[in-house]
Amino acid sequence: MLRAVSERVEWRRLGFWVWMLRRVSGLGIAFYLLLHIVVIHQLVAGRATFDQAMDLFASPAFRLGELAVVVACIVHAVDGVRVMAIEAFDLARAERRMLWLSATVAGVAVALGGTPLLLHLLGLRLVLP
Amino acid sequence: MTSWLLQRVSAVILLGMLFWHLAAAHFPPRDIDFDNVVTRLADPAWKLFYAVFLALALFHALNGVWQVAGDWTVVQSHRRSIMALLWVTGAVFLALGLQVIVVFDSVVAVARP
Repeated sequence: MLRAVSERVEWRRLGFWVWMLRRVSGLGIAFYLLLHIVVIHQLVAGRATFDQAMDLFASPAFRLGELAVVVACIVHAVDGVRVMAIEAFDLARAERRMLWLSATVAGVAVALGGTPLLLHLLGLRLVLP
Repeated sequence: MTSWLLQRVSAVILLGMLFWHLAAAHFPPRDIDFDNVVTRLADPAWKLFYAVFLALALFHALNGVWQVAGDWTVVQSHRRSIMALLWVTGAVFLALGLQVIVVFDSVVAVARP
């Protein structure tokens, strides 16, 4: 009985951190969006200025940053879908399974989306079958 | 309530649009340059896509910031200031984005060396 209670408390705490993860990733992506708009606005300054900015973003540090943005988007989106699915289909009782399912989906998406980016970062070209 | 619902509606639409944007612009990963972006923006269909995408993304982002700020701010006057700041931010960045998408003549830019 006591163990069940403590398990539930642990579970609540995990839920809190997942919620926090969605907030923090969301704030990060929001900040990135504003930067992205400013950078693309450099098109107005002409080809030379824009391409100079793009050269800067081709550096490994910025490519790692891009990878972080992709991971943040995947985490935020998958968890958002999880929350909407729980609300829409009244899945509160399946909460545990939903969390593991979404963690798996996010892991697969990060692997699928991150691999081409990592290859590009390492200067390798992705060859599609 | 409205803010809560609109956050979900925009989320679903953004998910599809983000996927489309990534597939068209960034997959397979490549070095983006002026021609790359401007060629896409010369197409009226892409102009429309990006205008909607920009507005929805800004709304979703700033509405999200509003929800976070709302949880941590109890003073009514502070809440009003934050709301005003978010509206100004949204308007400024929407204008910046739309200048590139709609006003900036990418057809001319493509033709120019």
